[in-house]
This record gives sequence, structure tokens and C-alpha cells, in this order.
Amino acid sequence: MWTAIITIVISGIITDNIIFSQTLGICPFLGVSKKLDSAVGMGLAVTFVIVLSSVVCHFLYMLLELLELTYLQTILFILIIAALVQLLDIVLKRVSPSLYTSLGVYLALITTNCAVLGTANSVVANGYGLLETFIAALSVGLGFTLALILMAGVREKVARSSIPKPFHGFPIALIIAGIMAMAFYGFGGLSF
Amino acid sequence: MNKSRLKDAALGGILSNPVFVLVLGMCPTIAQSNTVVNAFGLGAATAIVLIVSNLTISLLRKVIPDKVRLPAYIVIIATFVTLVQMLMSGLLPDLYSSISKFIPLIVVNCIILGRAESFASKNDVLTSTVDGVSMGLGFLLAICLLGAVRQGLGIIGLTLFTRPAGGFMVLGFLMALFNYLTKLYHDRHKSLLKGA
Amino acid sequence: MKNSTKNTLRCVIALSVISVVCVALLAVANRFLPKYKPSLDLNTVTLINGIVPSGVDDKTALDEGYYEMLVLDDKKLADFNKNNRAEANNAVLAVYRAVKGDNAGAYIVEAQAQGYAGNDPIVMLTAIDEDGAIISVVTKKQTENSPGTNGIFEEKQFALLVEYVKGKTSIDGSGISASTGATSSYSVGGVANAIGISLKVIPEVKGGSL
Repeated sequence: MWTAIITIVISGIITDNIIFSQTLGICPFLGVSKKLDSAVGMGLAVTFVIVLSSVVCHFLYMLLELLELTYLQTILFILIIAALVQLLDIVLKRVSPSLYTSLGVYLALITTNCAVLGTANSVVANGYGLLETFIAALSVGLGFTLALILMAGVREKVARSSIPKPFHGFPIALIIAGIMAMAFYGFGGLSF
Repeated sequence: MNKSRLKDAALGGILSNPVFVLVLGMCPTIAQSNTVVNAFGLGAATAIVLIVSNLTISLLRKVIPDKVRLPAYIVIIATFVTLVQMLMSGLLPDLYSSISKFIPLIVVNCIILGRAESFASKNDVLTSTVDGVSMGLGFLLAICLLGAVRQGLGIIGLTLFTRPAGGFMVLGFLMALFNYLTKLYHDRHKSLLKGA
Repeated sequence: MKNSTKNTLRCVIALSVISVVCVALLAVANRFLPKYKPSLDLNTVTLINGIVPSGVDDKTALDEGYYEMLVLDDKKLADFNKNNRAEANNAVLAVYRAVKGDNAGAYIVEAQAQGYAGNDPIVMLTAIDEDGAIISVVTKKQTENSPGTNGIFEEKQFALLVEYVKGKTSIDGSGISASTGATSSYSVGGVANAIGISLKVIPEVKGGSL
């Protein structure tokens, strides 16, 4: 039991990192990693949505399997995610305006973050139970936050160094991401 | 119908290439370009969904109320993605087994929703379809180019490049090259104008 | 006030009509589109003939039905795969049986499992005798290759793997790593999972519950 959970946590955060190993959620990873504080905000918002939507999709899939309607998986999952993001938007605006102003900008971007739908699909495909789903989604979200923070730290420094003109912006960010991904392979016990 | 709009739409795939210029749809581009075959499979599936959804959304653009347009687009796109998924798993099982994880994720590919929102919802059917074909081919071309470079590097023994890390780096270098070439093109354009 | 009610109604109706049409389209497609069925082709027969030789050449073995594919209940197989998987796309794809020739009676299981996350799933053929012990294994498909390292699919390491699995009725990744010296842990894990689920399916097939 415990070893299974520890495996899920380690692989979610480090060895199967959603950005560096599964290459999901690259758009926000490149778009919102220019500053450290916005990276933290985006990471936490995404983590919250991933956990919530994975748990809801877990129950929804059980229902779909019962009714033998699994071919509606894609269409319903994406609608659930879009609805959850909208709901979160409304609730946050009412309950915690300060948190809303710091996360608000990123919330709208989360619906089309493929890390969210990708995680919901993979926990369902893995046949996880409720607890495992929760832990897996949480560690995927934390892995995403970790990647974003690491990237923002490097990019804040790179912004001040001189690099060839065509490499400005996305190209240099992609190359840094590639080097970071290589570092993450070290955790997997791979040799090259 | 607007002729210059149509021409812009037809050239959009290259001049505002979804991958190299707009930087949309990065995830499948990096994840599935480890071999040319996978890249072609996913690129073609994405292009088909893009063309059909652009066509449908443009047809329905006057029927769909503005307030619920996003959920409506999502439902339409998700339906086409599921249809492509069913067709592929039935007819091309070998290819499908290697890219199955990324087929449902076409739904959240920003290229498709982005074109629906910014183009197909405002233009007539023909222009929107041309835009879909052009953007779809632009994406297909970009992902196949990436696949060819990565697989080529893998074949000569640099297997790192078939992993995601290599994907990030090759895409970074290709994007820089594209920036350089477009800048060269624009500079020449400008100097020609000046000369005239 | 009246205008806004009308607007809301219009939104709800438009969205419902689109959803109903889309779901109906999918339901029809799901019912009538062809579904994939694995089959016993020459490529597979060649591989099987390599690990459990029938005594005749591949073409003859295929044409004269030395091996046959067992007919399994799709739904029950899907349930079995769901309950026994080690990770996401770990699954038994097909079960074959040698009905004639030198190794008549042996089962051959085709199963897939994930190796490195970005790669295609590894597909293995595992030959199992009537007592449930492994006769031999062979790779049908893999994209793990990393030349120059001690990967499990390198010729020398794979030969050690075949030596190691012979006669085993259960299997684990650390045992494979230790006996072959293969260092790519993801690939070894994928191989172990594919063989592991193949061993589990045989009792079910024999018991007639699939």
C-alpha cells in the first residue's frame, strides 16, 4: 500500500514529470515562466484544477463504464474541466478576492492546458481508486509547479545575458527546457 | 467574399506558421515527433479535425449564440476528435497504439480552438475552410520536419534526440532558424521597396 | 427582463441541440465503424516459430494452421486487463496456441507494456507451456533502443533474459536487471510487466473464464 503510494508520488513529481518526461502542459510552461511569482501562482492554480477535475472525472468514468458509454469520455471530460474552471472563477471572485486577483489571469488559460485533460485520462486509464487518483493528481500538479519554478529561476537570469537575436524568447526557453529535461533523466536511472 | 482575405488565409500556414510563429500546440509537437511516422499520424489527425471543425463552426456561426459559443465549439471539436479516434483505432491499429495518448488531447490543442474563435467564427465557409487547410498543413509540415530531424539524429546514434529533451532542443533551434529566415525575408522586402 | 429570458432560452436550446446531434453522431459511429481485431499474420508466426518451433517452415506453419488464435470475449479480456495491469497501457492483446507440430499444446501470449514514457509501448510474445512455466520470450515491437548501453534489447542482454525466464512461473524487474546486467530501468520494467501479465492470463484461459 505505502510503497505503491510512494511510487506514485515520486514518479508524478520527478521521474515521470509532466513537463520534462510526458511533455504535457508546455504552452503555460513557456508562457508563464518569465517571472518567479507568476510561476508559483500558475503552478498552484493548475494543481488545484488537476486534483479537482481528476477526482470528478474518476467518478464520471465509473458511471460511463456502467452505462457502456465510454466513447463519450473525451467530450464529457473536457466539458467538466471547462465547467470546473468557470465555477472556480466565480467562487474565487466571491470568496477570496485577493486570491482571485493573483490567480485570475491564469484561470482562463487552464481549460486548454493539456496537462489537466492528460492527467484525467491517465488516472482513468490506470484504473486508480479514489485515494490513488487524488495522490497521483496532486503529485502531477506539484511536478508541474516544480518545473515552472525551476524554469522561471533560470529565465530571470537569462533575460539579462546577451544571446543571439534569433534565439530571443521561445527558442532559448526551449533549449533551456531541453537541458533541464536531461537533468531529470538522471532520476530515472537511465544511461546514455 | 473577400479576395485578399482568402489569399491571406491560404498563406497563413507558412507566414504565421502555428508552430514556429504562433507557438501553439507545443505539447503534441514535442511528444509525438520522435519518429516521422508518428509525427505524420498526429499531424494528419490534427489537420483533419482542424479543417472539419473550421468548416462546421463557420457554417453554424450565425446559429450559435455568442454567450455559449465556447462550450459549443468544445462540443463540436470533441465530437470530431472522437470520430477520428474511432476511425484510426479501427483502420490503423499499429499507428494508433503509438499515438493513442495524444489523440484525445487534440481537443485542447490551442491551434484548433484558437482558429475557431479568431477566424472561423467571423468568416464565410470557403475562407474558413481554406484557413483550416492552410493552418493544418502548416502544422503537419512543422511536426514532420521536427520528426525527420529527430529521427535522423537518432539513426546516427544520438538517441537522446528521440527523447523529449532532444525534442525541446531541436524545436528551439528550428524556431531560431525560422526567426532568422523570416527576418532575412522581411529585410530584403524592405530594401527592395526602398530601391523602388 | 423578457428579452433576457428569451436570450437565455435561445442559448440553452442551441447548446442542447448541438450536444444531442453530436452524441447521436458518436453513438451511430460507435455502432457501425469497424473495430480492430488482432490476427495471426506471417510476421507473428515467424516470431512464434522462432521460440516454440513447430518443425516446419514459417509459411507452412501459417498456411496449414500449426498455430491458431484463441477466440476470447472482448469484454472479459478488457476486464482482466483492467484488474491485472501494472500501469496504464499494460494489456494482453491476444492469446495463440500451438495445435500441431513439435511444441503442440504451448500457449503464446501477445502483451504490451510501457517502457520509457515518451516511447511506444513494448510488445512481447511469451510462450508458456501447459504447466504455466515460460518456454521462451521474443520482442514483437519496441522503440527503446539506445545503442552502446546495456539496454535489455541489446543482443547479449536479451539472450541472458531468455536464459533467465526459462521455466519461471512468476517474474520481477529487479531479478531481470540482476541477471542480465541491463541498466535501462524503464525498459526492463516494461518487459517485466508485459511478461507478468502474460503469465497471469494463462490460468484464466485454461479455466475457460475468458
